[in-house]
Amino acid sequence: MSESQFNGPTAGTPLTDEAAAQADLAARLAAAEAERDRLRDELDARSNESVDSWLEVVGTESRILGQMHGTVSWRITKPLRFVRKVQLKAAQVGVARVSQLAVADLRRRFIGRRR
Amino acid sequence: MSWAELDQSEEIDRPGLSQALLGRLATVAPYFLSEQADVDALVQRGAGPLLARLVTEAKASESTDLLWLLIAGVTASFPNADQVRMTRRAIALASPTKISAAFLEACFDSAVRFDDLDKGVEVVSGGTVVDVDFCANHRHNTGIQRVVRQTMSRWNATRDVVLVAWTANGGAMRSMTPLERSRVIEWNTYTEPGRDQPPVDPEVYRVIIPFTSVVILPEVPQAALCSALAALAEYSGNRVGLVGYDAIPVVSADTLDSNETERFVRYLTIFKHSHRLAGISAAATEEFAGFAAALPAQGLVGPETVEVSLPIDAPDGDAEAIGATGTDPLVICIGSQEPRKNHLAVLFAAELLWREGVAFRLRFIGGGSILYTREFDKRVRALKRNGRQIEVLRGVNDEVLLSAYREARFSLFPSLHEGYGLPVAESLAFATPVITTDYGSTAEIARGGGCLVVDPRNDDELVVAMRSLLTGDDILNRLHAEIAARSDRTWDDYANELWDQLVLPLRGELDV
Amino acid sequence: MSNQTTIDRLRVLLAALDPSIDLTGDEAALLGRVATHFVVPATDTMWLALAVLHAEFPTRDQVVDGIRRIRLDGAASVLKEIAHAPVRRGIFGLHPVRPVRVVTGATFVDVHHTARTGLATGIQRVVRKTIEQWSQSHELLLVGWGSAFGALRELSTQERANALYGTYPDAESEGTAEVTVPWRSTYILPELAVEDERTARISALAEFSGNASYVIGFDCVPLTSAETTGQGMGGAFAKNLAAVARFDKVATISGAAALEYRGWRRMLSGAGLTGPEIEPVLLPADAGTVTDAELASAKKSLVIDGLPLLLCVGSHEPRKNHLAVLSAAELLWREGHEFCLSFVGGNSWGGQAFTTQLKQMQERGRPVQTISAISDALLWGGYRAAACTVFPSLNEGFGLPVAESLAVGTPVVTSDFGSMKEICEQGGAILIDPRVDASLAGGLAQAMFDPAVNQRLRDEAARRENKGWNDYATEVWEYFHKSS
Repeated sequence: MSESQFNGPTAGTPLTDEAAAQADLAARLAAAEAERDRLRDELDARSNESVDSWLEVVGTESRILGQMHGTVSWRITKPLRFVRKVQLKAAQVGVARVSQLAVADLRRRFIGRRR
Repeated sequence: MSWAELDQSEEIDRPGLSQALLGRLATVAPYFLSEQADVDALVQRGAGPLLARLVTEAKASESTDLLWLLIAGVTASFPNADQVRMTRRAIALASPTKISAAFLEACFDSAVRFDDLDKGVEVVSGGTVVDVDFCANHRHNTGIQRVVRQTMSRWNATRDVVLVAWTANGGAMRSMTPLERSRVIEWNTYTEPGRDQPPVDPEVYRVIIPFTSVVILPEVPQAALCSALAALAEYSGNRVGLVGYDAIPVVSADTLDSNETERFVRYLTIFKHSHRLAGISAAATEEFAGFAAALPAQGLVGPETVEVSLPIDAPDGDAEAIGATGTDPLVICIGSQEPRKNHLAVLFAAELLWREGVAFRLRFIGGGSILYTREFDKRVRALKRNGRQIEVLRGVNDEVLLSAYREARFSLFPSLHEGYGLPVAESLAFATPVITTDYGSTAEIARGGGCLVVDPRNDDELVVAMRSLLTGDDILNRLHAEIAARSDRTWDDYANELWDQLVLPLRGELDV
Repeated sequence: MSNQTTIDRLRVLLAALDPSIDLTGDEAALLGRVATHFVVPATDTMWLALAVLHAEFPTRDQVVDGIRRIRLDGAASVLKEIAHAPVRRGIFGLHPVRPVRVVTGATFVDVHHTARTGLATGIQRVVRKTIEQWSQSHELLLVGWGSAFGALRELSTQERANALYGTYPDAESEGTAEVTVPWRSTYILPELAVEDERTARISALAEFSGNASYVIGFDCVPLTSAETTGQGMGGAFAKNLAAVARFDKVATISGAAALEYRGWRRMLSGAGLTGPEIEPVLLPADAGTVTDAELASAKKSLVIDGLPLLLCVGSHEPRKNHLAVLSAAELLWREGHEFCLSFVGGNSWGGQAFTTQLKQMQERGRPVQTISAISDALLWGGYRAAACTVFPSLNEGFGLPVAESLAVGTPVVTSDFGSMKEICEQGGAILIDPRVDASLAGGLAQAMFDPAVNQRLRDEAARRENKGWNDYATEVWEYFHKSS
């Protein structure tokens, strides 16, 4: 809000009335601003709360997912996942080229693990 | 553990997570808002109002950079392309009051999957971020790892770079421990405390988010990281540069296991959205340029490709003699026993020459998949039974390799397809002449002198070349003279040229 | 069909090597005569000898190794060994060796998959329409592979019918199929071969056998857009390409596909290969017909609440970009446009996100649906009933729904690159950036809701010169058989 709109005194109006009116306006303005801040804080609090609850739900889900990795079904599929990991690793080493030493190393470890 | 127990464990640290999120948002906010005062005021009000403002800014932006940055900042993980698109659609269609909720809902799955919400982030803006994840976590030191370690030890000393690894779950780039850094930049001097461990996260680390930066991938990333890296290249606004080693898994797929091809086509999804690639030879560069030329069919341009050839490099270390000794000249053949290396042609050529009465010892050094070594070993045993001087060394260390290079009269490398052909370069570094393939990257190395080139699919050419080096000294002497006259580049040259050809042009694009 | 002995197979081989030669005598005599052809062993005769004597097509390694062995140990002893180790049928090799015949001067067409499948997707349609046209004016030998992909054999009558018309999806092979070896012949592969054993043997055939080898190239999507294909496809497809690298010619189904194949061919130089000749022969745009009743029934299925119809044809895989269609439609509905959206296409790999999104929109009351049971009547009725069709694919060898929509005169909104753009060169379409939903929504708004634009596009589509299957098949045949 610009000053001129509200504070421009009109000619012929008694000075005292004008001061009173201004004081009143300022008070009302302050009240409105306080109310606005209060509403904003309330909205902020609500919005912060919803972000927090998102965090909490994500945290809980993550924990369940993490614990699932310890459950039976996950353990049963573990050998499969291990083979996949070795394949991927072998792939990396393969692309890495002539990697005779690394491949030999992998093979030793892979076969060693199966025994 | 039963399903009933799943919910009983320790409490979620709600204030901690909340504080961490606010910290991450405050870290990314300056890239959305030009006035720090605005950022500070919003931080005062909390994560909710701050997030709402940042999502609104991301939605209003024409490009996807800010959206990518915000997803990375909120979830402390890098999104894949599907997630970027889904989030973009969600906020495009959401009303202004629901925009934060829509954003968080779209981020939910990856936040759960990567579980890094307690982490802090660091944004690297205007920097050069180099992904050295594999070298930081592993002690393998063959082809790619040697290139990375030789280059990074030099860049680290002379250039301003940020080296990063990935979190163990593959969610995001992260800062590295001193040990991990040593594995990358002090390979020859540091001491490894224990045996090779599978990658684990350090106890303390920050997630590192490159923004308006250059991101260099000098390794071929693991398959699990490819979708996030492809999305980074496509959506984050960072300029992405790759070192291109070869396209063997596509071009010579008939000689490899399908899994290698699977992995490689995922790597190509990064390549097609990246901005520049430096191939390690003219042949490797042409392979990637060919792939890039196919991309307009899907409305993409593909990266610029430039050739920055590897130097001629002698592996470090002392020689240690292992293997049969004798008076007859030694011929060596270095490389894993797989079909692409064409070792059956070597066995055939050697047997023809032995039958002619030419005396020499033949030594193979290299491992190989059990899939392929069985047939090879069977033939080697048959030759041995006939009294041929042939041996196969597997799983030997570098010292044995070096001593073989020193002792050999010449080496054989008639491979069908190579991105570079390291054994050719290594042999030349030991002043040992080489018989190698007359096309591709090996032919490039051979042009500098010291090699005889043959068509690896023509056994007669191989026989003639071997005979000429075994039955007289003239050609061998000429090759030795050529090797002495070679002017080869060093790792210093390579590291500098790679910086100039790969990094600098990308940095130039940042300023636009 | 009688069983063949070792001597019989030697005779078959000898007759192919030299039709004028004497076929009498015992094994030693026959082997001696065969050996005269291997004094300096060549790759084509080595391939033929292995195929005939083993009763199985050789791989690359077997051909190369056979030549090396002959050079070391002499032809007679090596060929004798080969002749006495044929591949036997049955799980434990208990069954007799398959009979072998060599066919000279014929045109072999390998339709192994088309002969056995009940599917009628893009590739099968191209194969069927093409060989149907070819078989009217040329003598074709339609072949498939045995169950282990060891060798080619002629198709049974039922398989032949299924290859041509798709009428016997469960066709059985008849009795003991003969191993049918092409020699001085032409081998055409009009379908996509991705089985490892098959591609390995096709590769050796193309590289060594001396037969002319031609293939239809559909696209390189598993290589160039791996993010849109399921696990396993990239590996199998690259093995197909490794075989195609040894072919003489590839006829791609569009210029865009030729661009992809030519890019791949550039990649071969590092392996010392030159690769095949590659030329595009654009597929035809078929205009299927429907009866009034079929049209009415299609409208009943596809049109919701009498609203103008936006039709989207194709399976719900990520490459087809159907999530963008949903998003653009939502934008248009929010702008107040009234229309319904019907997808026609099956679920496929990676279609989960689409299904979920569609369901959410339906729950919010949007007039949108997907129909997976496709019939010709529904498809062609749909193209005709639609105000506009949409096909914002991210990569296509040939955007069939674009061509089909334009062929019946219905405007299309599609991607501004690749084969989609190529098909629309004669007009009738609005081209958009499929990676930007707003661009797609903007294109749809014009094509659907601006009557002047819709009419202009319809006029352009009606004026198109549509190519027929006869033209296509003839063009491909001529390209394959012209000397280059």
